[in-house]
Amino acid sequence: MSAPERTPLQLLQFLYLLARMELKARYKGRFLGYLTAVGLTFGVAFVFWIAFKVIMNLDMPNYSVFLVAGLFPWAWFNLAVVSATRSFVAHAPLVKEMGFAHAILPLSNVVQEMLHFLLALPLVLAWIVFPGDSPPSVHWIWQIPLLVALQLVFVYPLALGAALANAYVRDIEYWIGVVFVLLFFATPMVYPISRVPPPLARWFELNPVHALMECWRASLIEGRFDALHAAYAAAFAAVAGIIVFVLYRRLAPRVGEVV
Amino acid sequence: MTAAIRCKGLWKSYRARPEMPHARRWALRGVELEVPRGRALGVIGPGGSGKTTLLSTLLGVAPPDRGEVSIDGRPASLLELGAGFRGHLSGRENVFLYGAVLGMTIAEMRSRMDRIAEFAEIEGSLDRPLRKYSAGMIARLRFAIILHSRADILLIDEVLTVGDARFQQKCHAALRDFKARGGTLVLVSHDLSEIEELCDEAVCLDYGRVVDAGPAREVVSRYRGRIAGRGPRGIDVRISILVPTRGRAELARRFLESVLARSDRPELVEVVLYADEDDKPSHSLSVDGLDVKTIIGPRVSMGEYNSACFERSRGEIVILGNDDVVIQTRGWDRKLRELHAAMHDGVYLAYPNDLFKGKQLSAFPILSRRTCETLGEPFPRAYRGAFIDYHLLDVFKRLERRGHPRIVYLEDVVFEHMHYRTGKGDFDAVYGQRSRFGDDETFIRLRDERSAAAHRLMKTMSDSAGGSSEEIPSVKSDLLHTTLLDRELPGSWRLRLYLWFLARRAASRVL
Repeated sequence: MSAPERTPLQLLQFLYLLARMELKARYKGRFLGYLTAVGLTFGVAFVFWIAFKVIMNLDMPNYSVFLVAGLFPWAWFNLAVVSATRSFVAHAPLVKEMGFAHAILPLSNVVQEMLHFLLALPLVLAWIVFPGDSPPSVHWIWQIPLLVALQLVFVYPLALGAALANAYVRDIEYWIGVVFVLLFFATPMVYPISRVPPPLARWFELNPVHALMECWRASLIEGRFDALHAAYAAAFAAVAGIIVFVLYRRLAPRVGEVV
Repeated sequence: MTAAIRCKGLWKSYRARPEMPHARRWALRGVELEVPRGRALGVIGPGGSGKTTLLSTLLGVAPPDRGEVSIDGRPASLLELGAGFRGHLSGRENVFLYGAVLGMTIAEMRSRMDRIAEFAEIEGSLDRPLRKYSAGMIARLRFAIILHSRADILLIDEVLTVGDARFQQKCHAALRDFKARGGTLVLVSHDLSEIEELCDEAVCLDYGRVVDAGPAREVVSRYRGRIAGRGPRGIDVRISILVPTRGRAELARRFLESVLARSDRPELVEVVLYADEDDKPSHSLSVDGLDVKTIIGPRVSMGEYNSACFERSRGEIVILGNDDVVIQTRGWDRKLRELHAAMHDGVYLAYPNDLFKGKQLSAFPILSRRTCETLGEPFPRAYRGAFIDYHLLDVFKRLERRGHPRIVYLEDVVFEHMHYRTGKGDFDAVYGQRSRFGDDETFIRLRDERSAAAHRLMKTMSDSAGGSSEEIPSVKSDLLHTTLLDRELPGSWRLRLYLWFLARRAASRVL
């Protein structure tokens, strides 16, 4: 109402400043910072490799490739939504004073995690190609940008919705971690869906995150574009986007008061 | 001259208590103001009068419930110290970021960076992380950014007080310069000389209303007079405490002293005592500085004691007290006045924390005069010694059942009950002489009266002129029908009453 309108250029610059400065703070030790960020996800992959391959004796070829191809997009999704959940509350003074475009804050979380993903991508591709069973694919040239765009529009409404919800119901930030652990095994991330008992697997198939992760695995491991799953994920992103947009229009004016 | 800021009939409320959606605390009540371009408006008033809410509403970050704000220009605010700044980023990066919040581009901020650093006197520290800055440095940086932004309307709240006197003078000079260039300023401050120095006009807010407006010097001088005690301040609602006492002059004196010692505005508190004719020591109870009225009369029922006290009282807020109470909360009267102001139709039953029954029972009911008058006989004379608290709570439970939760438990207002069962008092003759089970039947018999009272209260709330004269069903006057089967009451209350009365009946046979 009274806050002046911002041009798209100003909003983009704001987003750029937010993302660049957070990244700078995170990668302060330059190369070491990069190794830490990438290494954490490889560490998680290693833990599950030990647990399932070595201890549970999972019978699956190329299990480490399966893990790595899924865990990096998952880390983007997971970390972006979890950090966005707190974005309004953590920046309460900023939200109170901005009076405009609060939606930029969770977007900056999503974009930051996307940049982490892109920075880690060369190592991920090397890991996939190195064992020799999954040769590099020329289709990556169009598939990867397309999937990055798909995941961006998929994650952002969820991140914005979580940030809004947490501004009004503060406890959500404590529950979101549990939800993600549940989702991690229900997607599933560390075992193929073919291992899930068929009656249960039908329900797993409905999970839109599963569809998104299947797209990544199909592309990164086989160079194949999984159109069916991609369409399902895109449809979900569209529906979630509309719902969250309507909610945002209604709830955003009072966010400054409730955080 | 065109107006840079214009407000029309601005109303803004916050929820007063999370558990009571109907109790709104009105921070702004119909504020009207206009600030012409190039002028400075000062906003003064006691703490909690709505000054900061007004600025937030002008900035557009707190939408009003009713009314209009129109802003012609680019506003920037200095609402909260250090807001929007990030400690791990350098001063320079924060300038870019805060500039972006204010709608500036990176190129614009870059070209102004030197001037900002120079004004804030932090040239040498611009690339150090902000968390290494002192509070004064951060305040100076904020002010410098605001001043060098493209904003032509500045909303400033209380922040010029940070920093040393020399820097304050520099800020004042900069603000005058800003005004001379056609900028509009709204300044909230407790520093009245600052308002006089910088502002052309001023408004004085009190409880969300503009109570004074005009040239800054005049408004400030009238306000100074008012703080000095020569005029009304705050909500001048009188509170009456009704206290029947018998044979316990020492306890009653202790109570009166606590009333006086812990109240913010004792001149607006009166205590109406009722002492029996033969209880000579209680006839002359008084405490310097407290308005104590004593009624001396025959020994009567508890309901009659209370009613007699009520008839003598004048307060808008009526509390039914007891002589074995000590008020422990400083500013208890202010809290009651705030509650009273929040419940704008005046229908509520509040009760303090007695550290004995607590939330369980409204041992010391607090009612507005309006509620008392609607109830007709707020403290029915038929009760000989007990159950008046249950009676009132029961009336309001009926409102609650109809979707009007008006029972307010004031946990943070402590009226400590030195009841003998808490170990804080002695089991004296007053406790020993009363008949323990005499009032149970009265409570059951008065059920229809409570039902009718609840309906009258609802009518008061809705204020409906053509209210439907709904038939109020009468109920068979026995324990089962007035408690467990009474559909006008919430289920948990029905069960509690029923079991409580059953237990009392059993006890009355044994004892």
